[in-house]
Amino acid sequence: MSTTADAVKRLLVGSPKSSGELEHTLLPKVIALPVFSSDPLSSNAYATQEALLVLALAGAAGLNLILPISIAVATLLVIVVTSYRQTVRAYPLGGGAYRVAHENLGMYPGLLAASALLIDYILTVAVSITAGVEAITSASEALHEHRLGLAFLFIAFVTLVNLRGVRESGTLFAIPTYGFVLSIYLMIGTGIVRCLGGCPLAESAGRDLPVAAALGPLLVLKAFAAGTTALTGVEAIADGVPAFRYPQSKNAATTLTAMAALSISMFLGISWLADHTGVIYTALPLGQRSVVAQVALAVFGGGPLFYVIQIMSAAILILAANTAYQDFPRLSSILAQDRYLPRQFMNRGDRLVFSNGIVILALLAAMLIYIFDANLTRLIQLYLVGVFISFTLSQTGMVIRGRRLKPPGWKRTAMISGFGAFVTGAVLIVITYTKFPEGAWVVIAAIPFAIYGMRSVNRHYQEVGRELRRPDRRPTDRRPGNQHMVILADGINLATARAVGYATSVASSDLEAVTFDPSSSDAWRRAIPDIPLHVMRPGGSRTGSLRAYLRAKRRELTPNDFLTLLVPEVLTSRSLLEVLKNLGLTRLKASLLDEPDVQVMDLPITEDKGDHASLEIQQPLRNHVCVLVSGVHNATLQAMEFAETLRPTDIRAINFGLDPSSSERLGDQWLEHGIPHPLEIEDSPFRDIGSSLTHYVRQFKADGTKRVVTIVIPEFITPKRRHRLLHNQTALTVKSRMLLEEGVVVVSVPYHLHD
Amino acid sequence: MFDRLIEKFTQTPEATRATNLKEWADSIPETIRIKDIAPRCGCRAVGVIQKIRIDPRAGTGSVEVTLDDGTGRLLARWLGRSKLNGIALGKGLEVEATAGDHAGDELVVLNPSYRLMPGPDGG
Repeated sequence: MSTTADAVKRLLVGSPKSSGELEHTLLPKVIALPVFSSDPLSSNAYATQEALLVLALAGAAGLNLILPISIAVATLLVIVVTSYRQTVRAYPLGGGAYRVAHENLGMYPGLLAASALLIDYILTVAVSITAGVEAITSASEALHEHRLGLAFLFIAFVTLVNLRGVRESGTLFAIPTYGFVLSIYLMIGTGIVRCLGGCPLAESAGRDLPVAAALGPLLVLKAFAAGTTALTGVEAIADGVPAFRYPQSKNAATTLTAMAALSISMFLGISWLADHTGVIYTALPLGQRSVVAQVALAVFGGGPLFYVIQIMSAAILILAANTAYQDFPRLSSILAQDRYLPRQFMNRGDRLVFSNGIVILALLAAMLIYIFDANLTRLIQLYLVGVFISFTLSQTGMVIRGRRLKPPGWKRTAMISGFGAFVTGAVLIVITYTKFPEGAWVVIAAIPFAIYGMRSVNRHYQEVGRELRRPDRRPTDRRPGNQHMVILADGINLATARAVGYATSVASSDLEAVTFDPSSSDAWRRAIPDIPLHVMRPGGSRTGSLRAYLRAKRRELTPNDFLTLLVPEVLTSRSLLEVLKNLGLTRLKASLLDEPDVQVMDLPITEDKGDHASLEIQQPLRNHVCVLVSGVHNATLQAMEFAETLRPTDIRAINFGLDPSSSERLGDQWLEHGIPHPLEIEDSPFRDIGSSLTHYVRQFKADGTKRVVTIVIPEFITPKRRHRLLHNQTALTVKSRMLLEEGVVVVSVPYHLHD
Repeated sequence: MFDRLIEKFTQTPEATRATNLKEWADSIPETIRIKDIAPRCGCRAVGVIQKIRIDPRAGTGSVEVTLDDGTGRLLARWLGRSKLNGIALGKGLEVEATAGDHAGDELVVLNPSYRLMPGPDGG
């Protein structure tokens, strides 16, 4: 990366942290509580309102039911939290409903829970940001037309803070979360005291309320379902156990209880006050104050504390997004670990957060807000379905787990979980039924696609794993064939001279050159008479004719032989822009990766130092060959055999241990396969293979003429192009970094996966 | 307090890591920091496993482990074996042997006795 971009990145997200600092990023309970509770606590800002909205349809008689319904919702919350406390203990690696369902109910229920959760997290960001923006724009009408821009601005802000690290975002966002809790408690406390001498009345109290529906069981059920909004976000802690300080499970369980206590007391307090101040909230007219605002106005009488409540409510709504920012990246990293999502989701960024997940979440949420035009009423309809799918699956899974493992006291907890699963399942049906036409269908339609996508990623990874270990394609005889080389000459310059020097040191017997430039052929024959030059016929596609030429050549060779195309390149400046200028060549190299049994070797030099006359062809005296390995399989073995044909000074395999826990296994496999070359496993403390490799190759002090370093990269070539995004991302990084290193030659050894 | 804060913000990531490693190494009793090891002295050092090299080539084979304690690097080499159980990147390792010479910027010890321990990140 260029230094300017590096400096900007450091300024925005901070300087990189080493993997050893991971423990320093773990959250103490005081910070974990606001981090994971901003979502569940924020739902208190509107849960009572949602229930009142339904009850108001039945007139004043309906409103009397708000307290019993709130108590029922609170009881359900206790049940769900009890069940999740078991989950947190049983699954300390996080993953919540996904892991419980996957392990106890099977793959598809697991993926159902995972998709429901992922979709729900995206919705949490979209809904909470939109709600926050709405709170702001309702204060200032002028801002209304800029609501999309404002929403994107907030997303960018929350994203950036999260990219800075878990601790950093947690600490920053703890203040408004605790502020919200305190201000609500202050409101409830003041309200109760004032009610001792007769409650103050809300502005809407006693308003004429027409009866629009009969007060039947269905209406009560609907109101109850609406009130269960208070449960959203409860699953957040169960997903994020690994973010806690040790002992993780215990701390997570304690935090879960604290969160439940806060949530229940706030929710019941608000409902009690709404009941006693006589708040009426109906769908129309527009522009009513929210229930919390009405209660605050009645309790505080419009003083500064009223505005504190308003500001805190807006802040907590935006911050609810932060909980999703914690959990979406973590859940996607768990899914990537289980091979249901691309492996890139497992990478921790500079600040030890799962940066890819954070960025993807931000993009998807922004897209959703854009599609729904930052319209809260339409977005909020999509919500809740995912939450209750995951609640139901998770609790059912815990019941099955209890029956299977029979831990002490399992009957009691299984009964609680079972009852919880039954109630959340019932709520799920009610929500689906009532919200389906209003937008919930979008979520229900999206889930199968998400499941299908994860299933096919998984299937692909499994196939690749099988292909890489297929015994009939394993290069086992330790007598590799010969090396045949073809130089792609574009005129005669220092780069070609180096390529000729390199090639003659490796395969002096079978070496030829091809060119598309007929004018250089005489000069070539004078300068390098030993190597036959084949001039390609002009016209037609270069790639096509080169491919045909290589194929014809390949047919003459035995399957054990290697055919390598050498591509000398002159880069005039030390800049990656050069690669863009030379797109034709880059594309040519990329498309040759498709060609079975042809290796492409890159020999770049950074400036053209001299004219043809002074070109001296020199074979390198030392050629250190480094094979990059990620595991021991057919592709690695083939690359090792390729390396042996280069007549190197020495060969070594190197691995930059991005996953330290697997380093021991890698060493064992290396010995098991009896590969007669040293393997070096080196830690990359800042998880940056490009820099680690640069540092590594510089120890050879290669100059390109006397000493060269050859980096051999095994690459997987999948038959389907869309699968290629899943592979070789590291190879790309390495290639672009090594292009600018003096005296470094990079060669891709493709391993073609069959379908 | 401000000194520490300023230091925290101006340090390179590598320097921060070195400070953390040294702090961790200092917490392990009866060990000496790598840069303080005199050639040919008998001593006990500790460090986090930075690099593992296994060489199974014909004959004896060898295992090399590079340790980093924030003050320097120590290369422990075991000859005649190609496997050391439990060795993994990021773990802590305590080695005790007679130090060899400083080869380049690395100190080499041959066939030390060793003890595995959790690394600085607790893993």
